[in-house]
Amino acid sequence: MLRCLNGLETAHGGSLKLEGRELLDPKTDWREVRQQVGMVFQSYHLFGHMTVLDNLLLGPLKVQKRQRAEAVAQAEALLARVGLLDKRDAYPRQLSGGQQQRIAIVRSLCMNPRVMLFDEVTAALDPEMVKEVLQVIQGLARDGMTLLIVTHEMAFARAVADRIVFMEAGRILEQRSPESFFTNPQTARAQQFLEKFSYVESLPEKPQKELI
Amino acid sequence: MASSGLELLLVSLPQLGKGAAQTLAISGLGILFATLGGVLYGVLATLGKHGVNIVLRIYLELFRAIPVLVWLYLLFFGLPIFLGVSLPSFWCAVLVLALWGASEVGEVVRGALLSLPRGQREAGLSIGLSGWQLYGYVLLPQALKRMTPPTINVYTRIIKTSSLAVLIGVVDVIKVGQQIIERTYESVLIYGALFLFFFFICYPLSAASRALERRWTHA
Repeated sequence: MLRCLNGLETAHGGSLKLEGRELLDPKTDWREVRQQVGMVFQSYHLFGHMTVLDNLLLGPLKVQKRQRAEAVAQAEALLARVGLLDKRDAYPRQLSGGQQQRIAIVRSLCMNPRVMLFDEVTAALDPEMVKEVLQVIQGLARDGMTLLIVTHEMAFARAVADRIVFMEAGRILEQRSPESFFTNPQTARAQQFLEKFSYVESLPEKPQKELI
Repeated sequence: MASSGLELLLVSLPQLGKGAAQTLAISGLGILFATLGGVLYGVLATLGKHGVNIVLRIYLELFRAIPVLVWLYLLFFGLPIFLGVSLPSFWCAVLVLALWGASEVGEVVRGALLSLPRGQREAGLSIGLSGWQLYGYVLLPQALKRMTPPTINVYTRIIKTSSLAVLIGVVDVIKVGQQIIERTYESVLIYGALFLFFFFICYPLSAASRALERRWTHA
């Protein structure tokens, strides 16, 4: 679904509105929309042949034609915010997954988007690095940025989200507040899904005997 | 008549030099246009447009299936007959080498672009890059490493294949050599000189290609 929201995939039907404007209109200028709808991917997709700073500046300088000094100042401020200012001249391959993902978030932020899309951004990360990325996302949420997050981090969704959308096979099954979704899911599918998580949590400390 | 082999070579040097200049000019122009055409081919072939792909496929197969020599004859003797246009033999050779080379370089560029992770394209699009910017700033620079060594190999083949231009009357280094042999019967000496000429042009290229390949696969 996220990929439909910025035109990487074409929607089969329905309606998609950004600030009152219908986006599924064939006349939509997706290049212009994409500048307002940032996207962060599961496997970061930083541009490997460029330094961190060049990754961040490509959009602001080449797409938005902004002044270099101003764009650099913004990029450095955002890098400092995610704790990676010292990596501005590093290449992506020199960074850990968590660092690359934080840079990818900053790359989107440098375009000053109205909305940010997060596509399972922690799914490819080591558990240790998940936290640093989630903290950045949480910070954005606190600042009031509109975020659409696809995630399997249930606890994170519950803590940060204003609204939970539960989907299966491209259809929305449930849409409600986090508290009511997690404590009292309405559809059988959602109940089944949440049970799987509670199953893991309620496992006994150690198995009673080895299964052979 | 020259008395010794070395003397003959010295005497023939200006003549051989002119032929060598022809060979290098044809090869150089062929390589230049083959590179430009090949990059264009590679970009077009990765746009995912079905119609474009069919046209490129036909072009590729035509140059794979039909020998370069036949193309030379076809353009040199065929164009005046069928279209009433006649190309000088020099430009005819450049054109055939460029078209053939572009199909070879094009396949290399296409393969290099396709070998990049799909996410690079999507990440580029998601920050609002246009198609040109996407290829110019993101995709082609990253494909460059993968396509340079095999492209250099195509270059050496273009240089060697340029010798076929003799057959449509271009006086290249080989033709000059043959003319000298006709006068002097020093075939071993002259062909030896031609051997060295082609070797010293092509060997550095293939050595460079191998060195780049080694350096970049370890980086």
